[in-house]
Amino acid sequence: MAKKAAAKRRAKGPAKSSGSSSRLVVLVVMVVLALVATPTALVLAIGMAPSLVALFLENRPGAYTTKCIAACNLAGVLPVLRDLWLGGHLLSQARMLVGDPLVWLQMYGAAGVGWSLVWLAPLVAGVLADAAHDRAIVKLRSRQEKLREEWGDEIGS
Amino acid sequence: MAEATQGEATIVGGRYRVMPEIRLEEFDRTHIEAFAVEDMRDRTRSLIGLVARRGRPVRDEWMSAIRRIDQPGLLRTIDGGVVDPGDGQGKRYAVIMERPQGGRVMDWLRAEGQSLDDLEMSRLLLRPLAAALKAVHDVRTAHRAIAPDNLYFVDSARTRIALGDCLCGPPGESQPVAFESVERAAAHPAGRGDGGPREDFFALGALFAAALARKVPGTESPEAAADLMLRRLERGSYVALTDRARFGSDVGGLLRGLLSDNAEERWGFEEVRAWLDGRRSIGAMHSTRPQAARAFTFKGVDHSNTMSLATALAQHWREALRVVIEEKLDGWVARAIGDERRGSMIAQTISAGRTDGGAGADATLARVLAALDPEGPLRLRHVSVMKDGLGTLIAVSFLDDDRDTRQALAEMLVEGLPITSLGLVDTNDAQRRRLAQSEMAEFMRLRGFVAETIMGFGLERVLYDLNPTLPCLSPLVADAYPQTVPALLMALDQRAAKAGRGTAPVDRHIAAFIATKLGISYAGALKGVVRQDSEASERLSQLNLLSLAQETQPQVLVPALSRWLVQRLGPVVQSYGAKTTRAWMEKELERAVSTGNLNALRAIVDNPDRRMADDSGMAAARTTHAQLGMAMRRYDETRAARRAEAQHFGRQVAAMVGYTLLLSVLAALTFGSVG
Repeated sequence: MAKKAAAKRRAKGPAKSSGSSSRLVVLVVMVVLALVATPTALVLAIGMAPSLVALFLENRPGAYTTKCIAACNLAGVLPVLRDLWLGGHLLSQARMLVGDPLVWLQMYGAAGVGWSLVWLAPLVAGVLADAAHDRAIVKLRSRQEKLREEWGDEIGS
Repeated sequence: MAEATQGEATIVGGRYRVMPEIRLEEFDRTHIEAFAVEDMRDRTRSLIGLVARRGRPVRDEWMSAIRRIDQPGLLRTIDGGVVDPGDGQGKRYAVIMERPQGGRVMDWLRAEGQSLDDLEMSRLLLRPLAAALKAVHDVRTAHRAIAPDNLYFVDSARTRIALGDCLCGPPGESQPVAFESVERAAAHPAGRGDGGPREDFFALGALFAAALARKVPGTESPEAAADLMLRRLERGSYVALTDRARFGSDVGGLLRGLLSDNAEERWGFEEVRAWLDGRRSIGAMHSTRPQAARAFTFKGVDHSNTMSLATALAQHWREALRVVIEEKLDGWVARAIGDERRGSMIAQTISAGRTDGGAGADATLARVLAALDPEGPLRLRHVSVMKDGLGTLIAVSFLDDDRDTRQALAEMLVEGLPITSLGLVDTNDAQRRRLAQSEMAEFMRLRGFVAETIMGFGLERVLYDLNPTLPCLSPLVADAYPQTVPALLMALDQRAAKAGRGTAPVDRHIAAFIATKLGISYAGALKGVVRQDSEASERLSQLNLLSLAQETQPQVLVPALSRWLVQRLGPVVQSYGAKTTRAWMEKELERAVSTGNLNALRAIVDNPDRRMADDSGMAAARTTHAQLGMAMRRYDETRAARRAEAQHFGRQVAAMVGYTLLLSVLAALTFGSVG
């Protein structure tokens, strides 16, 4: 029990520090981007909002939820950024893009796909783990049953 | 078919047919029924068949010796064997003899022979009977059935007399108490012992005295018998049995010699023959039994010798021990009898034994009486028996189902009463000392048998050890009269048809009979064969014993007995843990049953390697079962952790999928396929 707690603490410690440092990096990058590439920063700030929420909310080791959402979210934002960059990288164009509901749907839909994956994958893995566990128990029980059938119930006494 | 079988069942020696339908009651005696007999090769011969009543041990071990005797004073014993008279009492032993033609001598003496004087009587009786007894003694046995109802005229002219059968019954049992030497007369009729020539010649003297008096003393009533016994003990047998009759001095001298209470001084064949040849002498005038300087008074009767007192004490068992202690019997023996050794032995017995009532006190008194009267019978409660009569009395107690007597006899052996009396043998007489030592060793062996409770031992083992020709008395086979192991196996095989599954094929009698015949003398030899710690082991023991018996007689196959045993082997099969082993055993037993070979059955159910494999298999199964249980518990305990781990892995997978999606989009954007 104590060992488990220590392991949890060990797991949480670096995760927390890496989590806060990654938040800081993101903030710095955003600030820098806002200064040097304002249109990109605007699109990213609005488009990557779900990822940012996940980043700031998640405290699990590995931050796989954030990684998944961010990867999907970014996959949805990248085409918008390409349009922005191919269209001259203008603030007006950035405003126009972020004003388009389809663009929002694209960016947030991709983030939604990420959320869905994050919700569905552990659920499926849990169900599969339970099934594997039950199968193992059934196997063990049937071996016991066979032994009892051969040697009688007294072997269990 | 049944008739043929019945016919065969009445044939002795393949030649003599006992005819149960023709009873010859004139030749009946106590415990003996007489039947007509036909010699199938010579129908002119006149024969009788004497059949021992059920429940009497017989002396058939002497048949081969007795039938060789051809003496005028002894009825010819032709043959002997087991017959079934068909009266529903099962098989019994029959002795085939020549038929006496002139009736019983005693009847004739009372009626027509009144005029015979003493000397004529001695010529009529003594010469042929002494010669007959000599012939019997020469084959190293004793007649021990000398009685008025066993003395016949051989011919119808009544010129020749002869003694009758001596094999149908325990030695001495059929003799009147007056015909027994004084120490044996105090014993139970069936426990008077084998005796020897001295006892036969005493009986001959008593018979002669009874013939002279035309009556047998002590036969009128139990009181008369007790009074006669007391007079014999106090005044000597000669005085008591002749009852102050007046004989010619020659005959008186002869009777004194024959009726001497001292076996060493008693006349035998040589003295009688010398007397008959005219070299007349006179037997010892006095009994040499030590007489007390002062009498010991018990129940108002003065006793002047130890045997008289011991007999009286035994008759009043409940009060005897108190009297022995209060009246200082040891002091009386040491001072009045003048036997310090016996006195101190009695004192030691009292001080070492229990005296507060119950079985312990009985044993103490029995030892005291054995020390008081070492020549006499062993006495315990209501039982008194000569050391050499133990075997027959044990047999009779079993045959009569007399539990009290059996119990007393077992206690006698366990308490070592014979050893107590043998310990008082005169140490100066080397020959008697050696004999006593060998007898002691024998009784020690018997004591070991009785003390052992395992099946195959106990009093039953002593029974068959002391009565080598006795048939097995188990109720299962008693009707078949099996005297040998093969006969026992065949009898059990026949019994199997009527036996229910609940009936055990081996009881204590059968086990002891087999142990005796196989010469198993110590319980260790049956270790691993006979166990009684559970129903299964008991049933296995029964099979093991019978298979041991069959091993000595491989030609005897017993399919029905095998079936009976297999029907009862369920618990043995069930004692094996493995189901497959049990199923295999049941199949194999079923296959082996028809062979009638008990060893085959034993090999299936009592194989040590198989038992060991089963035990270790069971142990391994227990361990595995427990391990599996623990594994299941561990699984249950770690279920949540596994789930969490799986979910964590699920998230990793989700992240990987996310990255894959991102890379796909990047690739698409790079190579211009999106947008």
